[in-house]
Amino acid sequence: MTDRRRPHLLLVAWGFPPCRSGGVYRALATANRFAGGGWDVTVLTVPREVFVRYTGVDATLEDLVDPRVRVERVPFTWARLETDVRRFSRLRVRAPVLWRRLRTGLDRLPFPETGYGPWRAELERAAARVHAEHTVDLVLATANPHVAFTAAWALHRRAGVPYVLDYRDAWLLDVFDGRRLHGRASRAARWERRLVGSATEIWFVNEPIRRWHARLYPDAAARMHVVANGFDVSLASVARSRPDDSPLVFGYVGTLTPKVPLAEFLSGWTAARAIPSMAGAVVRVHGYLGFFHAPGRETQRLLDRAAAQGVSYEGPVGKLDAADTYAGFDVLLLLLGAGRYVTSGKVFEYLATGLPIVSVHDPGNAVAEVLGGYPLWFPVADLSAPEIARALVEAAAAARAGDPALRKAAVEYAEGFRRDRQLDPRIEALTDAVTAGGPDPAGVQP
Amino acid sequence: MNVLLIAEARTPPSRHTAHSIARQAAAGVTFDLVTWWPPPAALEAVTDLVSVLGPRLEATERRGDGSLRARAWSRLVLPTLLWRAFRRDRPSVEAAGRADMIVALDTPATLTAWQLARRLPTPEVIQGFDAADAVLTDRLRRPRG
Repeated sequence: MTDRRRPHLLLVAWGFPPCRSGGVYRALATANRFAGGGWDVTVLTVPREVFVRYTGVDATLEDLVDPRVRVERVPFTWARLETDVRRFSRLRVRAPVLWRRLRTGLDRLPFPETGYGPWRAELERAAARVHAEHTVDLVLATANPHVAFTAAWALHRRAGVPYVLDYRDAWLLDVFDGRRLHGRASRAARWERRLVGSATEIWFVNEPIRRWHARLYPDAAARMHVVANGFDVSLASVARSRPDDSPLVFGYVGTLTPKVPLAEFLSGWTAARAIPSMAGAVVRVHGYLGFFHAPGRETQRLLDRAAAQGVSYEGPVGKLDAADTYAGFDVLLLLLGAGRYVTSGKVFEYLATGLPIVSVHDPGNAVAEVLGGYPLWFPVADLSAPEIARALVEAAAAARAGDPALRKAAVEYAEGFRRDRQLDPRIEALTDAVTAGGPDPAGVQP
Repeated sequence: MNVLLIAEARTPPSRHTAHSIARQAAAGVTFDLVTWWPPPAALEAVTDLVSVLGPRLEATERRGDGSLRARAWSRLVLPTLLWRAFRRDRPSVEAAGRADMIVALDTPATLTAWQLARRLPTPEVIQGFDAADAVLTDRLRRPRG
């Protein structure tokens, strides 16, 4: 450690504002929180154009980046999703299927991750350049994509810079069905073993995922921490005041992927709407229909068909507009894919509202650990239509009752899940370790 | 902003695509359209149709449409036919000349778009309307200095 007063963090995050995907909020909050905590922060991410062309942008997020954070855009080519025809080769135009097969194989040569492998060389060069210009004291790489970890690895190998691996998901574990995705001898497994072995800390978004990895790497278990996503204080909203007899508004905010049990929910909703107390109730769906620009066709079809049942698709909502959107709801709908390792960043925003939450997902989902103590939580025991209808009706009754004591208890419970409360303990520990100049607990590779 | 859309148009565009094109048209973007088959009404309503380059047969009149053979023909033979017809068709060539953006709406149209990209240095040439829509939206939000 040098005698400079401000330590320097290199944050490697493929998704960063204005990218609109879910993982961006965590990277954004991490950068801002470190900057606020007295660190110089440099972010390595992809060019803005990548988000414009492939993932979609939430332009409101750019205004939330702390002005002290320096953002370096590292060239990235997403060949398979490339839509700029000028960049197409003759082979791609004449034989697109053959081209796709060849491209997939080539992409995986530098790093075993389809589509992202070629970013490794650019990232490593950028990390070395940043370190040469302004000595890096800590690298925090957030995945997926896991290629982000290679910048941390490279700086650690060459200059002994300690690093943190931040898993928003998992690499070897399928968080939906719990099976292992890559064999022990696979390149992905070998890479992860090396990375985990030398990491100063390894962060996971929930305890089930941390536990799975602790079993896989018992020697590293003490360096593994849960840093849940949490919610940003600025986004917490208050419930709207509504006339007693006005129809209830159920709201969903989030990305509707094929994993989300939308069809099951809509069956339950149709059943619930036949009950007199639910007369006139509506569902407003906000968010993206899939991860990329092209919306999921099946999702779109389901939503179109449900329009007659009071379900409307309202399109994406910018982060800065989220609080106003929540204020228009009486009940929140949490639709998640099955899986005991699955949590959602969205659940924390939901908690912050203090509104009744209907959970439509597998009861064993990891999110149950977060919502377990929330007094206005209405989970389902299974995904059958009558069971979903029951939860909807109970939540509607709670919304109509509007018990102030229950709501206060709900908001108080949510306080524990503020994002700053998740990040601060780790930032303090890392600041102490870096500024004290103590030895890198994981040691330096030869 | 002038956008040239090229499509085989064997199948109609999705509702989402048709809606996006209509939205951009309402925002002031003008669209020219060149197709192989006659375009669906949803597209024709929001574009200035320049040319139908293939036989003017509606889907119901096209024998074997949707069959494996028809799809293979569409994948392997039609791209070249479409490009050859395009460059012989004066209105189409003129539409390409005035375009700020050229969009291949479906895979068979990509070869024509690629050939135009090699000959015309100025317009952006994009595959698929979702990506084009994103670029147009971003362009309107952040006009070039």
